[in-house]
Amino acid sequence: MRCCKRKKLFLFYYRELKKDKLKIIEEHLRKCPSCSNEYKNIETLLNRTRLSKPQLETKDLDLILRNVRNKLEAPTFWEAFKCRIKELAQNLYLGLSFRRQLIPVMLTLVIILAVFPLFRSSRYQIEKEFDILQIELELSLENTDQESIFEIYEDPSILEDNMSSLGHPILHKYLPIVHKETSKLG
Amino acid sequence: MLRHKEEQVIGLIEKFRCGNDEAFDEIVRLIASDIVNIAYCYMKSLEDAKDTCQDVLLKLYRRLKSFRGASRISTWIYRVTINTCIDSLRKKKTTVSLDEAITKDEKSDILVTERVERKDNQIIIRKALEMLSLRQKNVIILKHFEGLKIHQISEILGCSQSSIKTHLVRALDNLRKELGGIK
Repeated sequence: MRCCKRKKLFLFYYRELKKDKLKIIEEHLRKCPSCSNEYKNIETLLNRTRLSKPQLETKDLDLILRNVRNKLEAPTFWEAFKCRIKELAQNLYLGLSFRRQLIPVMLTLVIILAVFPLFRSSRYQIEKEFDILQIELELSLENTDQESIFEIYEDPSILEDNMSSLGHPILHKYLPIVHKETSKLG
Repeated sequence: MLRHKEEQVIGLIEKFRCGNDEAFDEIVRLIASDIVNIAYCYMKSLEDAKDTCQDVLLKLYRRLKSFRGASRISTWIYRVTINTCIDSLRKKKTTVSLDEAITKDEKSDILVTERVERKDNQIIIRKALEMLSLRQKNVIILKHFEGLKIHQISEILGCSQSSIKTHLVRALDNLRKELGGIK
């Protein structure tokens, strides 16, 4: 077995591993002097890291109880409401404090989801308007130069092909007009 | 250790719900010292810990009747205690002399040198605890000083067991760095 990581040794100290793992580590500690040494250091340190626990005397308990009773005699609705709101906020804070690393990720996701559709739709809008403008320019006899009119006159299917390749629904509105105009010229 | 008193507390709560107001006094006598112990890990001075204990008991009194039993009673009390301690710390934000905080609970029959050594150690441990982040502090207090299991801590703090393990190991690493010279 490989040498134990520090995390395993800490969890081994608290017996917070499965039974089979506990046995494996126990055996390993018997064989491996470096791990055994490391574990002894951890054990010594943690055994000595203890805080003295104050024992409350009866008079202390009586005093606490009396103070609590005094405070309870005049409980206002507003105080209870404020207390409840504070506790809810604290519960939320306590929960979030362990998941704080998720907050930037969630925020980024929300921003992307909020901004991306706007960006897409505005681009589509520009493209669409540009297409319409292009078609209108081509169809306008005043704004089309002579060469393009003659080309359309000789072969109207060029324009039809070009327009259908653009694939915009508004083309279907203009195509019959083109046919009508070219047939008049013909 | 609140966990060991759970059955007694549940019995007293039932009496309290039935209208026996004196049952609350018994609950206070049963759990007040545990609450003070936890609060003392956060609060630096014993007097502050006692004040926090009063606030916790006040909250318990007001909400015991509406406690639905969604979690274990000890889990709920731990949660209320931790939240109240955090709240009190925020309100205070003033540092208390550690020497003053530790003298009161030392037994008089210990030799002077030993007492001084122990007092020094207590100061070092409390200072090391202050260096930890709130998350690490919560975990180390519940695990190391209160002796709860990791799954119980995850219930109290409302986060996953793996997260608790990670914070525990980080907290112990930091404690180890800070307490390198402890005797």
